[in-house]
Amino acid sequence: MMMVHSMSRDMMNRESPDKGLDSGKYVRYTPEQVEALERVYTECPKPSSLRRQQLIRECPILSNIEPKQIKVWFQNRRCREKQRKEAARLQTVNRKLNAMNKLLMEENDRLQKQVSNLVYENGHMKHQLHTASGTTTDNSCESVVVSGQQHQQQNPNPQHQQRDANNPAGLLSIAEEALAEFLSKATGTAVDWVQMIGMKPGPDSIGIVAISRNCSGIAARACGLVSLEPMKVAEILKDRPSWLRDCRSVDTLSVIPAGNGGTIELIYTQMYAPTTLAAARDFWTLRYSTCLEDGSYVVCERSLTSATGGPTGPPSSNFVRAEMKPSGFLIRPCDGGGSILHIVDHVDLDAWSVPEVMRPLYESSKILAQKMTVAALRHVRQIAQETSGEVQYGGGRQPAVLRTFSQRLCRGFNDAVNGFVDDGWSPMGSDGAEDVTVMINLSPGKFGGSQYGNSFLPSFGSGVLCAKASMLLQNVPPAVLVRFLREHRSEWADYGVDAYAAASLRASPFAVPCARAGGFPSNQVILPLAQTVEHEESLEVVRLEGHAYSPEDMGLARDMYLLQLCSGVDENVVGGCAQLVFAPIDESFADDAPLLPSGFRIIPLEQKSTPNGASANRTLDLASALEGSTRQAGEADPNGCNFRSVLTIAFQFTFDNHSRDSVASMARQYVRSIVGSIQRVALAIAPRPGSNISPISVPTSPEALTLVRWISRSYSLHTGADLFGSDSQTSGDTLLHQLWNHSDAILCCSLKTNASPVFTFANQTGLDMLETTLVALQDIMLDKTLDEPGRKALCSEFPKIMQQGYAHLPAGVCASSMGRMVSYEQATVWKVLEDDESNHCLAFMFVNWSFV
Amino acid sequence: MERLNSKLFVENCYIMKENERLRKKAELLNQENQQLLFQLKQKLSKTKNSNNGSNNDNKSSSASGQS
Repeated sequence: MMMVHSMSRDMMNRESPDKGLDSGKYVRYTPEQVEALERVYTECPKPSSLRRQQLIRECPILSNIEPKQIKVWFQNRRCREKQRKEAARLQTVNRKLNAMNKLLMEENDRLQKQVSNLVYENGHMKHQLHTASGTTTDNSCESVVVSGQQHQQQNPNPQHQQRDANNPAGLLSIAEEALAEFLSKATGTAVDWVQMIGMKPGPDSIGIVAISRNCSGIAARACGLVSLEPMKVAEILKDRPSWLRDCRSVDTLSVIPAGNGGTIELIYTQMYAPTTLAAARDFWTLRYSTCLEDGSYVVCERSLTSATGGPTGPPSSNFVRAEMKPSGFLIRPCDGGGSILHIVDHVDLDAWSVPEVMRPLYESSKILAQKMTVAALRHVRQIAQETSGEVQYGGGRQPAVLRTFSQRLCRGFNDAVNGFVDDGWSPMGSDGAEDVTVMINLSPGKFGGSQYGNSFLPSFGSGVLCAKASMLLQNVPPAVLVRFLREHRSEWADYGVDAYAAASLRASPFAVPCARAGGFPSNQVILPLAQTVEHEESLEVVRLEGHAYSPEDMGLARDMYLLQLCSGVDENVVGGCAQLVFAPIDESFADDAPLLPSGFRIIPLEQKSTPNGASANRTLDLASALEGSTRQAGEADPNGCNFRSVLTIAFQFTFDNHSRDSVASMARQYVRSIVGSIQRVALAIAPRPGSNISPISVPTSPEALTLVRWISRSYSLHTGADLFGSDSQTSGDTLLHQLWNHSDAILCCSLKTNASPVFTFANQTGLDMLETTLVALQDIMLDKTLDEPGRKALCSEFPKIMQQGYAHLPAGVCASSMGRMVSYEQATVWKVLEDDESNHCLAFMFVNWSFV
Repeated sequence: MERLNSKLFVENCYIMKENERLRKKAELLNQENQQLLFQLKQKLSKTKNSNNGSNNDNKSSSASGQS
């Protein structure tokens, strides 16, 4: 198709001056005509034939052109556009690859120098050892110690003892020392770096990410290229709350010019606790920003402790003081514009002060890398792309506005989870059970301060109430659970509670509902608003379709809207937490609309010592990374048998003075019921231990029973035969077992017109055939499984399936999820009907299959 | 362009592999370096002690700062 079009375009534009219009084949357009056509194209790149006829009628300069030619013009125009886009894409990829290449070459250079230095030094030392004579060793030993780290030489005053850290000169010496240490981590090997698993090389890679091994505290570093000027990058990164979601506040308590053009700041930073199970952290640090001789800009930061000296930070009762070891960013200007950014984060989060089960969270350099280091790099790149106009944004909103929405959702959720006293939160008496904590805030205007603006206060009644709970989950992949919660809201949410939350945005009073999860199934429609560049986070509007309980309530049966932020649904990301946070929002969607977020956060707790210690410390295997097996590396952990994660739930509601107690008990009940729902879901989606060994793993949820009933009923309805032979049982459990243990592979796949079909269910043999698990099954697309003839056969039989209910496909070949070829003798496809005869899904039965 | 890109990609991968190798080598050499340094220091302190021990504090602090 494309070939034909582009050829005819070429002929049209260049080679047809001599051919008249009469030939009917080639047309030469005048600039005016082209302009007129271009105008239409910008409005509608694919006009209907009616629209094209109208165009000829309305536009006199086009009246001598045949409709067919106009059609061809548009086809060609679209084709050209496509080609141009493709070329632009390739160019972008090329730029990235070149930048990456440069970075890698630099690293290579550095490493080579390092190696040769070491070889030389070691040779020298060996020589000294063998021919040692006491007097000459002194000098050479000195040089050996210092020459390994050039940066150490910049350090003017390494003696701790002589320093009076309370005066500016003393602070400068701390700053210089921090700078030297930071640089030796950023570009050297002062920390034992290993490349992070799961960060694949290539054009789409964010950069080079490494994490620490066996160092005191935890450290991560990233290096990448951004298309912004160094000073701009520094400005963005210094504003930590704008990109670090866990950062509650940064207070600069004093600014001291450092004499050499640099600046020293004393900074107090508060960080949110990720769950209700541990206290929040704070940092008291010195930050030093300065230019280096080679033109690069550095911002480095380290904690002021009794060891370093310096003024002591503000006291804090609700926080545990954590230590930041020399960290920061080095921004080097890049030849073709833009900068090369090196980020190092090195902290000691005082893991010993948290409950043992939570400790991995505070000891994982992977989590640090994801939450801080990579987040910083991502944020800068996101802004760079927005500035360059590469980002498409939804809903006619500026990306900055959408980002503010995401930040506010996150911050509001963090505020709810942490419930700080200085925000106005106080605990409310429990009802005996301790599983759910309820806190109230009678001065909601106080929290968030200016970021909510004035619109916050009047919107939230006399107070805000928050019910929260945390629980440990066993063997539940966070990404899968969050995906489930997002896609199947009706499985856990209560329509009445949603309606209550939505109503609090309006003036009209709304009776406090009694919470019962899944009481009224409500339809949700998810409308995407924005996605970050790497797709790791998406902002969306959820429309909940209105229902009326009773005729009197008709007035209230209106659609409700939630602004929702979903992150971490990509299973392949290592060390990331998954989160679903949403807040009711009124139809106006004002930029400063008040938001009272609720939601879920699931954080994987990495095991401290994996059974085969090698996997934790495994460096990136390049060959396997090329083949995309980073995915397996990412999955290896969650599929391990003792994989744990912590789930935190927080729900916020407004209340009036008179409704306080009823709202509190509703919220408490609601969170309890959600915990119940999640436990059920968790049980269903936890992967089977081992592969096919245990027969216990038959899914026994009511949904599975119903589905199996529908599958077998529909089969006999359409084909007149019985799926399990003559002696089939009709009772649920037996039916389920018969289907589960059926010798042929039986698979169900979704039946949606707008999306490509994915598998939703398979029996044991089906899972074996696709070499997958029930959880992973739901990511497998039918298109990928069937081969070309198989797809064709299905397409041609599809009308028959829809009409008669079933069809047989001839013998063929399909592929397992691992890419192994599977041959089958026959495939039967039938349409699975629900009880009310509506279409539910398609079922496939692959008969006599075997691996080729 | 596409070909150029894939060539660059392969090249990058190759350099990455190479870097990984160099890093390992550097690590080994560094270990050796530390060991030698230790031996050298021991020897030095022996000779110092036999002569007149004076500047030892200073040296050990800068050496530990490097590791």
